[in-house]
Amino acid sequence: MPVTANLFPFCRKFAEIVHFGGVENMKTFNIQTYKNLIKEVGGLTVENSFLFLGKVQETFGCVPREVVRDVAMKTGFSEARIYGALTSYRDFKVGRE
Amino acid sequence: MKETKLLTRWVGKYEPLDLKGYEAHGGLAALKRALAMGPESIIEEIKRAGLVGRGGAGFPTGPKWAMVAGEKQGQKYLICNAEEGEIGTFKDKVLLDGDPWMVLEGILIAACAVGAEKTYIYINGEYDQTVELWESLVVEARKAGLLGDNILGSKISLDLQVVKSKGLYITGEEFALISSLEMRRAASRLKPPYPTEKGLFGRPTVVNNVETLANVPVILAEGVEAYRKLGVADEPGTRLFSLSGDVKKSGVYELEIGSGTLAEFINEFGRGTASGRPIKTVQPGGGTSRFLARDSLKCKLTAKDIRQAGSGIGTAGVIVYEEGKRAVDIVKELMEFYGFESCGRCAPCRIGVVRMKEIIDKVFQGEGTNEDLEQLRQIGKACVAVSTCGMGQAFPLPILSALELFPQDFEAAIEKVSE
Repeated sequence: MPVTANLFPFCRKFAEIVHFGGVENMKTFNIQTYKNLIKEVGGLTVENSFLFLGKVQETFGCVPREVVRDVAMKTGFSEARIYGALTSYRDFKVGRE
Repeated sequence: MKETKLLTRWVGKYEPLDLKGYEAHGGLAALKRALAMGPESIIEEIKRAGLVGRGGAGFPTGPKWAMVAGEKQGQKYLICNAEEGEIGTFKDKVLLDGDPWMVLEGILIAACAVGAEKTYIYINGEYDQTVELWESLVVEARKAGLLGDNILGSKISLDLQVVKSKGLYITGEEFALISSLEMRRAASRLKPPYPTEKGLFGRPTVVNNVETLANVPVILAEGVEAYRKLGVADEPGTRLFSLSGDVKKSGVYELEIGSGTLAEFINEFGRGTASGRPIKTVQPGGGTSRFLARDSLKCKLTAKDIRQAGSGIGTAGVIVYEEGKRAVDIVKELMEFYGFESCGRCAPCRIGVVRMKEIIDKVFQGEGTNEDLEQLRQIGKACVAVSTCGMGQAFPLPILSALELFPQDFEAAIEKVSE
Protein backbone atom coordinates (compact mmCIF):
# COMPACT_ATOMS: atom_id res chain seq x y z
CA MET A 1 0.00 0.00 0.00
CA PRO A 2 1.48 3.34 -0.97
CA VAL A 3 2.43 5.69 1.84
CA THR A 4 0.47 8.58 0.34
CA ALA A 5 -2.82 6.78 0.84
CA ASN A 6 -2.15 6.51 4.54
CA LEU A 7 -1.03 10.10 4.73
CA PHE A 8 -3.89 11.48 2.71
CA PRO A 9 -6.54 11.75 5.47
CA PHE A 10 -3.99 13.43 7.69
CA CYS A 11 -3.02 15.88 4.94
CA ARG A 12 -6.65 16.71 4.31
CA LYS A 13 -7.29 17.43 7.98
CA PHE A 14 -4.11 19.49 8.19
CA ALA A 15 -5.04 21.52 5.13
CA GLU A 16 -8.42 22.33 6.63
CA ILE A 17 -6.88 23.67 9.78
CA VAL A 18 -4.21 25.68 8.01
CA HIS A 19 -6.10 27.13 5.07
CA PHE A 20 -9.47 27.66 6.60
CA GLY A 21 -8.13 28.94 9.89
CA GLY A 22 -9.89 26.32 11.98
CA VAL A 23 -13.28 25.04 10.96
CA GLU A 24 -14.81 25.85 14.34
CA ASN A 25 -14.50 29.62 13.69
CA MET A 26 -16.89 29.49 10.77
CA LYS A 27 -20.52 30.24 11.36
CA THR A 28 -23.23 28.72 9.24
CA PHE A 29 -24.11 30.66 6.15
CA ASN A 30 -27.48 32.32 6.30
CA ILE A 31 -29.00 33.66 3.09
CA GLN A 32 -31.14 36.25 4.89
CA THR A 33 -28.15 37.72 6.74
CA TYR A 34 -26.30 37.81 3.46
CA LYS A 35 -29.12 39.69 1.74
CA ASN A 36 -29.23 42.18 4.61
CA LEU A 37 -25.50 42.77 4.20
CA ILE A 38 -26.02 43.64 0.53
CA LYS A 39 -28.78 46.04 1.54
CA GLU A 40 -26.49 47.59 4.16
CA VAL A 41 -23.84 48.56 1.60
CA GLY A 42 -26.49 49.85 -0.78
CA GLY A 43 -26.28 47.26 -3.52
CA LEU A 44 -23.28 45.31 -4.69
CA THR A 45 -21.14 47.20 -7.20
CA VAL A 46 -17.60 47.07 -8.51
CA GLU A 47 -16.66 49.98 -6.25
CA ASN A 48 -17.74 48.49 -2.93
CA SER A 49 -17.10 44.80 -3.56
CA PHE A 50 -13.89 44.73 -1.52
CA LEU A 51 -15.43 46.20 1.59
CA PHE A 52 -18.49 44.01 1.09
CA LEU A 53 -16.33 40.86 1.15
CA GLY A 54 -14.71 42.23 4.31
CA LYS A 55 -18.14 42.44 5.91
CA VAL A 56 -18.97 38.89 4.79
CA GLN A 57 -15.73 37.68 6.35
CA GLU A 58 -16.56 39.35 9.64
CA THR A 59 -20.13 38.10 9.72
CA PHE A 60 -19.57 34.46 8.76
CA GLY A 61 -15.93 33.97 9.78
CA CYS A 62 -15.05 33.11 6.20
CA VAL A 63 -16.02 33.96 2.63
CA PRO A 64 -18.09 31.00 1.39
CA ARG A 65 -17.54 29.89 -2.20
CA GLU A 66 -21.17 30.61 -3.05
CA VAL A 67 -20.58 34.24 -2.11
CA VAL A 68 -17.56 34.43 -4.39
CA ARG A 69 -19.70 33.13 -7.24
CA ASP A 70 -22.46 35.61 -6.45
CA VAL A 71 -20.07 38.58 -6.24
CA ALA A 72 -18.43 37.51 -9.50
CA MET A 73 -21.81 37.40 -11.21
CA LYS A 74 -22.98 40.76 -9.85
CA THR A 75 -19.79 42.74 -10.37
CA GLY A 76 -18.29 41.19 -13.49
CA PHE A 77 -15.00 40.34 -11.82
CA SER A 78 -13.80 36.86 -12.72
CA GLU A 79 -13.92 34.30 -9.93
CA ALA A 80 -10.19 33.80 -10.36
CA ARG A 81 -9.54 37.47 -9.65
CA ILE A 82 -11.63 37.38 -6.48
CA TYR A 83 -9.92 34.21 -5.24
CA GLY A 84 -6.57 35.84 -6.09
CA ALA A 85 -7.39 38.79 -3.88
CA LEU A 86 -8.96 36.76 -1.06
CA THR A 87 -6.06 34.36 -0.71
CA SER A 88 -3.46 37.12 -0.68
CA TYR A 89 -4.86 39.03 2.31
CA ARG A 90 -4.13 37.66 5.72
CA ASP A 91 -7.54 38.33 7.29
CA PHE A 92 -9.61 36.57 4.63
CA LYS A 93 -10.47 32.90 4.74
CA VAL A 94 -12.10 31.04 1.89
CA GLY A 95 -14.85 28.73 3.05
CA ARG A 96 -15.63 25.25 1.83
CA GLU A 97 -18.32 24.28 -0.63
CA MET B 1 9.29 73.51 24.67
CA LYS B 2 5.51 73.36 24.65
CA GLU B 3 2.80 71.54 22.78
CA THR B 4 1.00 73.67 20.19
CA LYS B 5 -2.53 72.36 19.91
CA LEU B 6 -3.88 73.10 16.48
CA LEU B 7 -5.08 69.80 15.01
CA THR B 8 -5.68 68.25 18.40
CA ARG B 9 -7.40 71.32 19.89
CA TRP B 10 -10.83 69.63 20.02
CA VAL B 11 -9.69 66.06 20.62
CA GLY B 12 -11.84 64.66 23.42
CA LYS B 13 -13.78 67.91 23.85
CA TYR B 14 -17.02 66.43 22.55
CA GLU B 15 -18.62 63.01 22.21
CA PRO B 16 -17.30 61.46 18.98
CA LEU B 17 -20.74 61.13 17.34
CA ASP B 18 -22.08 64.45 18.58
CA LEU B 19 -22.21 66.79 15.57
CA LYS B 20 -23.86 69.59 17.63
CA GLY B 21 -20.96 69.52 20.08
CA TYR B 22 -18.53 69.81 17.18
CA GLU B 23 -20.41 72.76 15.75
CA ALA B 24 -20.50 74.41 19.18
CA HIS B 25 -16.69 74.43 19.18
CA GLY B 26 -16.68 76.15 15.80
CA GLY B 27 -16.72 73.15 13.50
CA LEU B 28 -18.13 73.11 9.97
CA ALA B 29 -17.26 76.80 9.49
CA ALA B 30 -14.43 75.78 7.16
CA LEU B 31 -16.73 73.57 5.08
CA LYS B 32 -19.33 76.33 4.69
CA ARG B 33 -16.58 78.74 3.66
CA ALA B 34 -15.15 76.20 1.22
CA LEU B 35 -18.52 75.61 -0.44
CA ALA B 36 -18.90 79.37 -0.95
CA MET B 37 -15.33 79.73 -2.27
CA GLY B 38 -15.37 77.20 -5.10
CA PRO B 39 -12.74 74.59 -6.00
CA GLU B 40 -10.10 76.84 -7.59
CA SER B 41 -9.83 79.18 -4.61
CA ILE B 42 -9.64 76.25 -2.15
CA ILE B 43 -6.69 74.77 -4.03
CA GLU B 44 -5.12 78.23 -4.24
CA GLU B 45 -5.41 78.66 -0.45
CA ILE B 46 -3.90 75.24 0.25
CA LYS B 47 -1.04 76.02 -2.14
CA ARG B 48 -0.43 79.37 -0.41
CA ALA B 49 -0.48 77.67 3.00
CA GLY B 50 2.33 75.40 1.79
CA LEU B 51 0.79 72.21 3.17
CA VAL B 52 2.87 69.09 2.53
CA GLY B 53 1.68 65.49 2.91
CA ARG B 54 2.17 63.99 6.36
CA GLY B 55 2.13 60.36 5.28
CA GLY B 56 5.85 59.90 4.78
CA ALA B 57 6.73 60.96 1.24
CA GLY B 58 6.08 64.66 1.91
CA PHE B 59 4.52 65.57 -1.44
CA PRO B 60 2.91 69.06 -1.54
CA THR B 61 -0.87 68.73 -1.21
CA GLY B 62 -1.97 71.76 -3.28
CA PRO B 63 -0.23 70.71 -6.53
CA LYS B 64 -1.47 67.13 -6.06
CA TRP B 65 -5.07 68.34 -5.88
CA ALA B 66 -4.57 70.69 -8.82
CA MET B 67 -3.44 67.75 -10.98
CA VAL B 68 -6.66 65.84 -10.28
CA ALA B 69 -8.90 68.91 -10.44
CA GLY B 70 -7.50 69.62 -13.94
CA GLU B 71 -9.27 66.52 -15.26
CA LYS B 72 -12.77 67.81 -15.94
CA GLN B 73 -14.69 64.81 -17.22
CA GLY B 74 -15.69 61.52 -15.67
CA GLN B 75 -15.44 59.95 -12.25
CA LYS B 76 -12.73 60.98 -9.80
CA TYR B 77 -11.89 59.40 -6.45
CA LEU B 78 -10.51 60.55 -3.13
CA ILE B 79 -9.02 58.12 -0.65
CA CYS B 80 -8.16 59.00 2.92
CA ASN B 81 -5.29 56.74 3.89
CA ALA B 82 -5.70 55.70 7.53
CA GLU B 83 -3.86 52.40 7.14
CA GLU B 84 -0.96 53.58 9.32
CA GLY B 85 0.97 50.34 9.45
CA GLU B 86 4.38 51.92 9.93
CA ILE B 87 6.29 50.75 13.00
CA GLY B 88 6.19 53.32 15.79
CA THR B 89 3.44 55.44 14.27
CA PHE B 90 0.05 55.88 15.93
CA LYS B 91 -0.80 59.55 15.37
CA ASP B 92 -3.77 59.09 13.02
CA LYS B 93 -5.73 57.06 15.56
CA VAL B 94 -5.80 60.08 17.88
CA LEU B 95 -7.49 62.17 15.21
CA LEU B 96 -9.81 59.41 13.98
CA ASP B 97 -11.06 58.62 17.49
CA GLY B 98 -10.79 61.99 19.19
CA ASP B 99 -11.95 64.42 16.53
CA PRO B 100 -13.57 62.40 13.72
CA TRP B 101 -15.79 65.24 12.46
CA MET B 102 -12.74 67.37 11.68
CA VAL B 103 -11.24 64.55 9.59
CA LEU B 104 -14.60 64.13 7.85
CA GLU B 105 -14.73 67.88 7.19
CA GLY B 106 -11.24 67.66 5.68
CA ILE B 107 -12.34 64.80 3.43
CA LEU B 108 -15.43 66.74 2.30
CA ILE B 109 -13.44 69.91 1.53
CA ALA B 110 -10.81 67.93 -0.37
CA ALA B 111 -13.49 66.12 -2.35
CA CYS B 112 -15.16 69.44 -3.23
CA ALA B 113 -11.81 70.89 -4.31
CA VAL B 114 -10.85 68.06 -6.64
CA GLY B 115 -14.41 67.27 -7.74
CA ALA B 116 -14.45 63.70 -6.47
CA GLU B 117 -17.90 62.20 -5.91
CA LYS B 118 -16.80 58.90 -4.43
CA THR B 119 -14.56 58.96 -1.40
CA TYR B 120 -13.12 56.17 0.71
CA ILE B 121 -11.51 56.02 4.10
CA TYR B 122 -9.21 53.04 4.39
CA ILE B 123 -8.71 52.23 8.08
CA ASN B 124 -6.14 49.86 9.58
CA GLY B 125 -7.65 46.42 10.21
CA GLU B 126 -6.50 46.41 13.81
CA TYR B 127 -8.48 49.55 14.69
CA ASP B 128 -11.75 47.68 15.26
CA GLN B 129 -13.43 50.33 17.39
CA THR B 130 -12.36 53.11 15.05
CA VAL B 131 -14.00 51.32 12.12
CA GLU B 132 -17.22 50.90 14.11
CA LEU B 133 -17.14 54.56 15.11
CA TRP B 134 -16.67 55.67 11.52
CA GLU B 135 -19.47 53.45 10.26
CA SER B 136 -21.91 55.10 12.66
CA LEU B 137 -20.37 58.48 11.87
CA VAL B 138 -21.24 58.06 8.20
CA VAL B 139 -24.85 57.25 9.14
CA GLU B 140 -24.99 60.38 11.33
CA ALA B 141 -23.46 62.49 8.57
CA ARG B 142 -26.05 61.24 6.06
CA LYS B 143 -28.82 62.23 8.48
CA ALA B 144 -27.30 65.70 8.93
CA GLY B 145 -27.00 66.20 5.18
CA LEU B 146 -23.21 66.23 5.10
CA LEU B 147 -23.10 63.18 2.86
CA GLY B 148 -25.40 62.23 0.02
CA ASP B 149 -26.95 64.43 -2.67
CA ASN B 150 -26.57 68.22 -2.49
CA ILE B 151 -24.58 68.50 0.72
CA LEU B 152 -25.56 71.51 2.86
CA GLY B 153 -27.75 72.86 0.09
CA SER B 154 -24.97 73.04 -2.51
CA LYS B 155 -24.86 71.26 -5.87
CA ILE B 156 -22.21 68.80 -4.76
CA SER B 157 -23.02 65.14 -4.17
CA LEU B 158 -20.69 63.00 -2.12
CA ASP B 159 -20.47 59.52 -0.73
CA LEU B 160 -18.03 58.12 1.80
CA GLN B 161 -17.31 54.45 2.23
CA VAL B 162 -15.50 53.04 5.24
CA VAL B 163 -13.13 50.25 4.26
CA LYS B 164 -11.37 48.08 6.79
CA SER B 165 -7.92 47.01 5.73
CA LYS B 166 -7.39 43.28 5.62
CA GLY B 167 -4.11 42.95 7.42
CA LEU B 168 -1.17 43.70 5.15
CA TYR B 169 1.46 46.32 5.86
CA ILE B 170 1.94 47.05 2.17
CA THR B 171 -1.63 48.37 1.78
CA GLY B 172 -0.38 51.63 3.30
CA GLU B 173 1.38 52.27 0.00
CA GLU B 174 -0.93 54.20 -2.30
CA PHE B 175 -0.91 51.85 -5.29
CA ALA B 176 -1.22 48.75 -3.11
CA LEU B 177 -4.21 50.41 -1.43
CA ILE B 178 -5.77 51.15 -4.81
CA SER B 179 -5.09 47.57 -5.97
CA SER B 180 -6.91 46.17 -2.97
CA LEU B 181 -9.99 48.30 -3.66
CA GLU B 182 -9.86 47.07 -7.26
CA MET B 183 -10.05 43.49 -5.99
CA ARG B 184 -6.47 42.63 -6.86
CA ARG B 185 -3.78 41.44 -4.54
CA ALA B 186 -2.04 44.27 -2.71
CA ALA B 187 1.09 45.13 -4.65
CA SER B 188 2.79 48.28 -5.78
CA ARG B 189 3.03 49.35 -9.43
CA LEU B 190 5.61 51.11 -11.52
CA LYS B 191 5.34 54.90 -11.50
CA PRO B 192 4.54 56.91 -13.60
CA PRO B 193 1.59 56.96 -14.22
CA TYR B 194 0.91 58.29 -10.73
CA PRO B 195 -2.47 57.82 -8.99
CA THR B 196 -3.28 61.43 -9.84
CA GLU B 197 -3.31 60.43 -13.53
CA LYS B 198 -4.41 56.79 -13.49
CA GLY B 199 -5.47 55.57 -10.08
CA LEU B 200 -8.50 53.68 -8.84
CA PHE B 201 -10.24 51.94 -11.79
CA GLY B 202 -8.00 53.91 -14.14
CA ARG B 203 -9.43 57.27 -13.02
CA PRO B 204 -7.58 60.20 -11.38
CA THR B 205 -7.35 59.58 -7.64
CA VAL B 206 -6.12 61.61 -4.68
CA VAL B 207 -4.64 59.61 -1.82
CA ASN B 208 -4.06 61.72 1.31
CA ASN B 209 -3.03 60.88 4.84
CA VAL B 210 -5.44 61.54 7.74
CA GLU B 211 -3.22 64.22 9.24
CA THR B 212 -2.92 66.04 5.91
CA LEU B 213 -6.71 66.15 5.54
CA ALA B 214 -7.14 67.26 9.17
CA ASN B 215 -4.93 70.26 8.34
CA VAL B 216 -7.32 71.41 5.60
CA PRO B 217 -10.27 72.65 7.73
CA VAL B 218 -7.79 74.28 10.11
CA ILE B 219 -6.20 76.26 7.27
CA LEU B 220 -9.57 77.39 5.91
CA ALA B 221 -10.98 78.28 9.34
CA GLU B 222 -7.94 80.07 10.76
CA GLY B 223 -6.79 81.68 7.52
CA VAL B 224 -3.58 81.16 5.60
CA GLU B 225 -1.65 83.96 7.32
CA ALA B 226 -2.36 82.67 10.83
CA TYR B 227 -1.39 79.16 9.73
CA ARG B 228 1.86 80.28 8.15
CA LYS B 229 2.89 82.06 11.35
CA LEU B 230 3.44 78.63 12.90
CA GLY B 231 6.41 76.54 11.93
CA VAL B 232 9.27 77.58 9.67
CA ALA B 233 9.11 79.25 6.25
CA ASP B 234 9.48 76.05 4.16
CA GLU B 235 7.29 73.93 6.42
CA PRO B 236 4.46 75.85 8.05
CA GLY B 237 2.12 74.43 10.64
CA THR B 238 2.37 71.74 13.27
CA ARG B 239 3.09 68.06 13.21
CA LEU B 240 1.96 65.11 15.30
CA PHE B 241 4.91 63.16 16.69
CA SER B 242 4.38 59.65 18.03
CA LEU B 243 7.02 58.89 20.63
CA SER B 244 7.74 55.28 21.59
CA GLY B 245 10.53 52.90 22.46
CA ASP B 246 12.68 53.15 25.57
CA VAL B 247 11.18 56.28 27.08
CA LYS B 248 9.35 56.77 30.37
CA LYS B 249 6.27 58.31 28.79
CA SER B 250 5.34 57.48 25.23
CA GLY B 251 2.48 59.12 23.39
CA VAL B 252 1.36 61.44 20.63
CA TYR B 253 2.43 65.07 20.92
CA GLU B 254 1.60 67.95 18.61
CA LEU B 255 4.51 70.32 18.15
CA GLU B 256 5.13 73.39 16.08
CA ILE B 257 7.53 72.42 13.31
CA GLY B 258 11.05 73.52 14.22
CA SER B 259 10.16 74.57 17.78
CA GLY B 260 12.88 72.52 19.45
CA THR B 261 15.45 69.81 18.97
CA LEU B 262 14.97 66.07 18.91
CA ALA B 263 16.95 65.64 22.15
CA GLU B 264 14.79 68.22 23.96
CA PHE B 265 11.65 66.54 22.67
CA ILE B 266 12.72 63.11 23.97
CA ASN B 267 13.85 64.46 27.33
CA GLU B 268 10.89 66.73 28.04
CA PHE B 269 7.97 64.75 26.68
CA GLY B 270 9.41 61.27 27.01
CA ARG B 271 10.94 62.17 30.39
CA GLY B 272 14.23 60.50 29.48
CA THR B 273 14.98 56.87 28.78
CA ALA B 274 13.17 54.07 30.59
CA SER B 275 16.11 52.81 32.63
CA GLY B 276 17.99 56.10 32.92
CA ARG B 277 20.82 54.93 30.68
CA PRO B 278 21.77 57.37 27.90
CA ILE B 279 20.18 57.17 24.46
CA LYS B 280 21.98 54.91 22.03
CA THR B 281 20.14 55.75 18.85
CA VAL B 282 16.86 57.12 17.54
CA GLN B 283 14.73 56.45 14.49
CA PRO B 284 12.97 59.77 13.87
CA GLY B 285 10.59 58.69 11.09
CA GLY B 286 9.16 55.27 11.85
CA GLY B 287 10.70 51.85 11.40
CA THR B 288 12.00 52.46 7.88
CA SER B 289 14.08 55.55 8.64
CA ARG B 290 17.85 55.62 9.17
CA PHE B 291 19.24 55.52 12.70
CA LEU B 292 20.56 58.76 14.16
CA ALA B 293 23.63 58.70 16.39
CA ARG B 294 23.51 60.38 19.81
CA ASP B 295 25.55 63.34 18.54
CA SER B 296 23.10 64.20 15.77
CA LEU B 297 20.12 64.56 18.12
CA LYS B 298 20.72 68.30 18.29
CA CYS B 299 18.90 68.76 14.98
CA LYS B 300 15.67 70.77 14.91
CA LEU B 301 12.35 69.02 14.36
CA THR B 302 11.96 69.97 10.72
CA ALA B 303 12.13 67.65 7.72
CA LYS B 304 15.09 69.59 6.31
CA ASP B 305 17.21 69.49 9.48
CA ILE B 306 16.55 65.81 10.11
CA ARG B 307 17.49 65.07 6.51
CA GLN B 308 20.73 66.98 6.97
CA ALA B 309 21.43 65.04 10.17
CA GLY B 310 21.30 61.87 8.07
CA SER B 311 17.79 60.49 8.39
CA GLY B 312 14.26 61.38 7.31
CA ILE B 313 11.18 62.62 9.17
CA GLY B 314 8.89 60.17 7.34
CA THR B 315 5.75 59.61 9.40
CA ALA B 316 7.26 61.36 12.45
CA GLY B 317 7.21 58.21 14.57
CA VAL B 318 10.15 58.70 16.91
CA ILE B 319 11.51 55.41 18.24
CA VAL B 320 14.14 55.63 20.98
CA TYR B 321 16.66 52.90 21.78
CA GLU B 322 18.75 53.17 24.93
CA GLU B 323 22.37 52.22 25.55
CA GLY B 324 22.81 48.51 26.21
CA LYS B 325 20.78 47.31 23.24
CA ARG B 326 22.79 45.69 20.48
CA ALA B 327 22.30 47.01 16.95
CA VAL B 328 22.17 43.39 15.74
CA ASP B 329 19.11 42.69 17.90
CA ILE B 330 17.29 45.83 16.79
CA VAL B 331 17.98 45.13 13.13
CA LYS B 332 16.94 41.49 13.49
CA GLU B 333 13.60 42.52 14.94
CA LEU B 334 12.98 45.01 12.13
CA MET B 335 13.99 42.47 9.48
CA GLU B 336 11.62 39.87 10.86
CA PHE B 337 8.76 42.29 10.32
CA TYR B 338 9.78 43.32 6.79
CA GLY B 339 10.55 39.75 5.77
CA PHE B 340 6.99 38.86 6.72
CA GLU B 341 5.45 41.85 4.95
CA SER B 342 7.18 42.02 1.56
CA CYS B 343 4.47 41.75 -1.10
CA GLY B 344 6.61 39.87 -3.64
CA ARG B 345 5.77 42.12 -6.56
CA CYS B 346 9.37 42.99 -7.50
CA ALA B 347 12.42 40.76 -7.24
CA PRO B 348 14.91 42.95 -5.32
CA CYS B 349 12.59 43.24 -2.32
CA ARG B 350 11.19 39.69 -2.54
CA ILE B 351 14.58 37.99 -2.73
CA GLY B 352 16.66 40.65 -0.99
CA VAL B 353 14.55 40.64 2.14
CA VAL B 354 14.96 36.88 2.56
CA ARG B 355 18.72 36.93 1.93
CA MET B 356 19.26 39.85 4.29
CA LYS B 357 17.21 38.11 6.95
CA GLU B 358 19.28 34.95 6.56
CA ILE B 359 22.55 36.85 6.92
CA ILE B 360 21.34 38.76 9.96
CA ASP B 361 20.13 35.54 11.59
CA LYS B 362 23.55 34.06 10.90
CA VAL B 363 25.31 37.04 12.46
CA PHE B 364 22.87 36.95 15.40
CA GLN B 365 23.70 33.33 16.10
CA GLY B 366 27.38 34.24 16.04
CA GLU B 367 28.25 32.48 12.81
CA GLY B 368 28.77 35.53 10.60
CA THR B 369 31.90 36.61 8.79
CA ASN B 370 33.16 39.90 7.41
CA GLU B 371 32.11 38.82 3.92
CA ASP B 372 28.57 38.43 5.20
CA LEU B 373 28.48 42.04 6.34
CA GLU B 374 29.85 43.17 2.98
CA GLN B 375 27.16 41.14 1.23
CA LEU B 376 24.51 42.66 3.51
CA ARG B 377 25.66 46.11 2.40
CA GLN B 378 25.58 45.18 -1.28
CA ILE B 379 22.12 43.62 -1.19
CA GLY B 380 20.79 46.58 0.80
CA LYS B 381 22.13 49.11 -1.68
CA ALA B 382 20.74 47.13 -4.63
CA CYS B 383 17.33 46.98 -2.96
CA VAL B 384 17.27 50.73 -2.37
CA ALA B 385 18.31 51.41 -5.95
CA VAL B 386 15.92 49.21 -7.93
CA SER B 387 12.80 48.46 -5.87
CA THR B 388 9.45 49.63 -7.20
CA CYS B 389 7.76 50.98 -4.11
CA GLY B 390 8.57 52.88 -0.96
CA MET B 391 8.89 49.77 1.17
CA GLY B 392 11.62 48.14 -0.90
CA GLN B 393 13.46 51.43 -1.17
CA ALA B 394 13.27 52.08 2.55
CA PHE B 395 13.55 48.85 4.54
CA PRO B 396 17.33 48.39 4.03
CA LEU B 397 18.03 51.96 5.21
CA PRO B 398 18.08 51.18 8.97
CA ILE B 399 20.36 48.23 8.35
CA LEU B 400 22.76 50.19 6.16
CA SER B 401 22.89 53.02 8.69
CA ALA B 402 23.37 50.56 11.57
CA LEU B 403 26.35 49.05 9.75
CA GLU B 404 27.76 52.55 9.38
CA LEU B 405 27.05 53.82 12.89
CA PHE B 406 27.65 50.72 15.02
CA PRO B 407 30.26 48.57 13.26
CA GLN B 408 31.56 47.53 16.68
CA ASP B 409 28.27 45.74 17.49
CA PHE B 410 28.44 43.65 14.34
CA GLU B 411 32.15 42.97 14.73
CA ALA B 412 31.63 41.82 18.31
CA ALA B 413 28.92 39.44 17.13
CA ILE B 414 31.27 38.01 14.50
CA GLU B 415 34.26 37.69 16.78
CA LYS B 416 32.40 35.56 19.27
CA VAL B 417 32.53 32.62 16.87
CA SER B 418 36.10 32.82 15.84
CA GLU B 419 37.25 32.52 19.44
